Amino acid sequence: MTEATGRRIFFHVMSHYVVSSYMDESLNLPDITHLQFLVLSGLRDGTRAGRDLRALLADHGVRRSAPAFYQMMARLEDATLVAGSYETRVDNGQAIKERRYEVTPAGERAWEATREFYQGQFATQPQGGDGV
Amino acid sequence: MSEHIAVPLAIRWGRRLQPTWSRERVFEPALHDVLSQTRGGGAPRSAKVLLLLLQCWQIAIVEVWRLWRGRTTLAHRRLEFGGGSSGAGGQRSDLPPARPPHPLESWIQDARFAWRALMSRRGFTLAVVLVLALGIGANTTVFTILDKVVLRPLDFPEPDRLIFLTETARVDGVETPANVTAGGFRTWRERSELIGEMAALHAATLNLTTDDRTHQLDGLWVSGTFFDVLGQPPALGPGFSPVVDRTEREIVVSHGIWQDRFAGGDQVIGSELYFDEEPYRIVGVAVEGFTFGSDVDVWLAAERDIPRPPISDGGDYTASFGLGYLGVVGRIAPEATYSQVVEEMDAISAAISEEQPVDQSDRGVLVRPLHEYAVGDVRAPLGGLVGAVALVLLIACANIASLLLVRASARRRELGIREAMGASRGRLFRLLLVESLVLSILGGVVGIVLAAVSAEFVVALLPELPRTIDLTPDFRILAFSLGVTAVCGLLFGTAPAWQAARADVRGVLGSTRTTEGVGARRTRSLLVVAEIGLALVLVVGAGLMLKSFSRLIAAEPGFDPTNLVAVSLALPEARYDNSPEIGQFFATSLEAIQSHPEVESAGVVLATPFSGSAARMDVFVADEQPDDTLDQRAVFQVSTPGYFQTMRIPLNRGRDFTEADNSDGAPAVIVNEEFVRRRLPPNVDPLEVSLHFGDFDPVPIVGVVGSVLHLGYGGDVPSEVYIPQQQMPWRFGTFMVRGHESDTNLAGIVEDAVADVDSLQPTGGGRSMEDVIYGSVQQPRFVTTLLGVFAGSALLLAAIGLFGLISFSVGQRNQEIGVRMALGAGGAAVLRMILRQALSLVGFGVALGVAAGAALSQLLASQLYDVNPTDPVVYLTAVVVLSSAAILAAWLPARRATRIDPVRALRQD
Repeated sequence: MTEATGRRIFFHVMSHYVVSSYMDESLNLPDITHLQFLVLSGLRDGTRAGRDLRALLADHGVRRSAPAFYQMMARLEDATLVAGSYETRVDNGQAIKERRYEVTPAGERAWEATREFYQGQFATQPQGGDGV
Repeated sequence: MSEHIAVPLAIRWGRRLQPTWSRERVFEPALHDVLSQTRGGGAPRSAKVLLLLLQCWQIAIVEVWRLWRGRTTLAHRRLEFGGGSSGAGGQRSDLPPARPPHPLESWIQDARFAWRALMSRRGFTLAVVLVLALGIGANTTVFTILDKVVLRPLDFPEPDRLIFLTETARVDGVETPANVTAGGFRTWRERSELIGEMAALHAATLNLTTDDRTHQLDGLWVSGTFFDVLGQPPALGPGFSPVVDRTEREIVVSHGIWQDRFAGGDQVIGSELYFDEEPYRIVGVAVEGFTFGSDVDVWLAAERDIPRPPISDGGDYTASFGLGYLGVVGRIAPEATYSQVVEEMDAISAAISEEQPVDQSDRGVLVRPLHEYAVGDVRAPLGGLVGAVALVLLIACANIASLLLVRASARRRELGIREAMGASRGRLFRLLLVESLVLSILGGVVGIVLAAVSAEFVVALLPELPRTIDLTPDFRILAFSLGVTAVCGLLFGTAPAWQAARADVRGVLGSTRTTEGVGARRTRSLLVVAEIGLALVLVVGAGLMLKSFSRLIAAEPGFDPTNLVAVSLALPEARYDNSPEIGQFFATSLEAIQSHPEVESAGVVLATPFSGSAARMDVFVADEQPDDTLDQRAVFQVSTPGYFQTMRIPLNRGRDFTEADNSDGAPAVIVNEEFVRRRLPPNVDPLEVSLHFGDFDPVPIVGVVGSVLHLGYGGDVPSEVYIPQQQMPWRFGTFMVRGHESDTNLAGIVEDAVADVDSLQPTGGGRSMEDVIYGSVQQPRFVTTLLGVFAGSALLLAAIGLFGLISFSVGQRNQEIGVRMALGAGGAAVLRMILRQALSLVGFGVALGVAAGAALSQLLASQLYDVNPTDPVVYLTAVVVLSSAAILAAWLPARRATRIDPVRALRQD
């Protein structure tokens, strides 16, 4: 073993130790999934209708049936990460009740925590092809 | 139903059927999205709405399952939807506290607790589930039979507009249904404006000739509009052509014939079949499974749209009002109602009676819904069976309730602790009720599976029913079974749950005793009284049916059926179109049969007793005074010399027919005793009386024979008139052959003798008269047997219930009995004390059962033959049987009580 190799191995081991320590001390796994993160992202700009959120998901290649999507939103509401409400509007003389959602402070915090986690991962991920 | 109606209806009901917790947050917004999408076109709105409903229900079921598995939607769990997994992340302290429990969670918890409690006592659970499964399975099977035979409409379009018409004749002052005359049918069809279309029908036995073989088939002569009236045209082919356009004989064959003889090919239409050596062109194949009454192989278009009579005097048969032989089916016109049709037909019939005073003066018309005609005879017995099996299930539920009460008493301490820790009484009640519902659901599921698995076996045991049925449970039957299951759970669960929820916490926790409370004891006693009462109802019902059946078959048939075989045949008109040929055929065949060494005697008759078929004609006694109240009709028979001897029908007066009573001899008739009783004054010698019928000259009576039950057990004994076969040869006849031994192949002897005379003439196979008589009471036998089984089951369950109650009571009173015995009471005194308790319960139960039985047995009245529904002998016997079983059940634990060791009992805490 050459000295350079040994130093690379040592650095890799140390990096791994640093990454592990960093993860153990300050980065718990996020409680929300990627899809929920995407939904919360879409709501950070303000209240949106359910149909618009479904369209947002579709733009990202995620297609769910209406009942499945609204069931997911119901669970987010149960987790107090979003708040849902009905808004009545008139369209072509017909009253339409539309379900709208907005992110709650708890949802904002969950989104932030998830973003920090992934940013932390990108920051500590070693670069290069041989793992050093 | 158009989409404009179906979609809002589906949405309304879909909304109602959604669980509350998903309706606002899942169903409504999803519905809004779907409806918005469909405004832009694409798939039909109804399809999308249906898909939405299914998806919402799927999600609801998944959510319930997740709650059951404990994966609730509390904030500190990772949410799974979207591909995430519940990882090792710990609880985040900055998240808000958990939300209140989901409404379903507590029910799911109760169900999981109930499951664990039942699994901890598997023997008890298995026994209860088995009893329930048998009860629910039996109820499902019996209800399925009732539903598919009686309750469901006939498989024709608009079946409620189909009617069946018969004439009526006054017999002993009672209007009884009678076959329709050709003249009557023609007049009805011409004059009725409220019946859209009518068709006449007449059964036929035909000889089908293929290659060098001849087979006998069952067919139906029908008017050309027959299939149009029923609204079920042939599946293949154009069907019958209008009678005015018909140039050849036309038939429609059954699906079975099409598959067997034509391999299901299209070439069947236009092909010919030869019946009675006449060609018939096939113009249609009936729909698969098409039946109308009995199974028939072919439907033949009647030549003049009215089937020919079995006997004709050569005149225009379509104008004859003398011989009734037709059945008539009709379809009510769209603008008419059933009651209007009845009124119209009554008026038409009254007009006919005035226009035809000789033949129709005492005739009327009976209009019935076709469904009623088809299944009316079996509705009452099947309904009775459903009631009986429901009673058995009730008794089983009472037994289970009693067991659960005991179990609840043993768990009083556990329930007391729960209440002390904050559980409300309502919650405790619900906890135990859910346990009962879980038990009943388990029993129901197993019961439904049992019913489905045993369906084929049960069908094989059933007597002949007016409709062919498939006992496989469908959605309707499943809904019935689930309903029964839920009701059972509530029935046997409510009392124990109620009792347990009322326990006194302080008293229970402060005591180490596990004795049953007073309320529970009373409830159990009431349950046992109810069981005994219900069991007595069933035992009484079974007893009445048994007595009725035994009286039914005790009636003398009027002939000796042992070693007696009937072989029927029909000669083709093409080869036997005149009387001498017909007479020669029967005479030669009979002579060959009679000369066989294994044959004791043989004769020929037109219609076999117990066959259900009878030709009736108006018969007039010479010089008889006209009497409108008198039924002029008599069963018309032709017979050969030796017939009465073969049947062992006694010849009471005069003589039998001889060889001299042929076409060259003087006309002669023989009548039965019933004819003499009904039609002749007591002081008149029948042998000095002459009769006339049709256009024949008066014919003297030469003999009087005993009466036979021509219409079978339970039917009236009809007047019968016999004419020598050689003087009125018919192409239809039955060889009655009696052998010396029981194992002789008499049908084979007849077949060989017939083949020697005419090799192309088939016979219809032989039937033993003992089998014919046995088969004629198949239905009452089946009902009686089944009722007996139900009564036996009920008796056993009631005895078990009483045994359990007295056993438990003895166990509870151990110390008391010990004290009594220590103070000097002997074993006999203890026995009397225990039995007194049992007898008081039996007494109340019997009183309840007798009262209920007397009320409910009136429902059986129509099924009873010569038995009063309140027959005291039957009731007394039932009381004795039930009381004996109950006393035996109580005696065993009572005897155990006499063996209690007073010392040990006194030391018991």
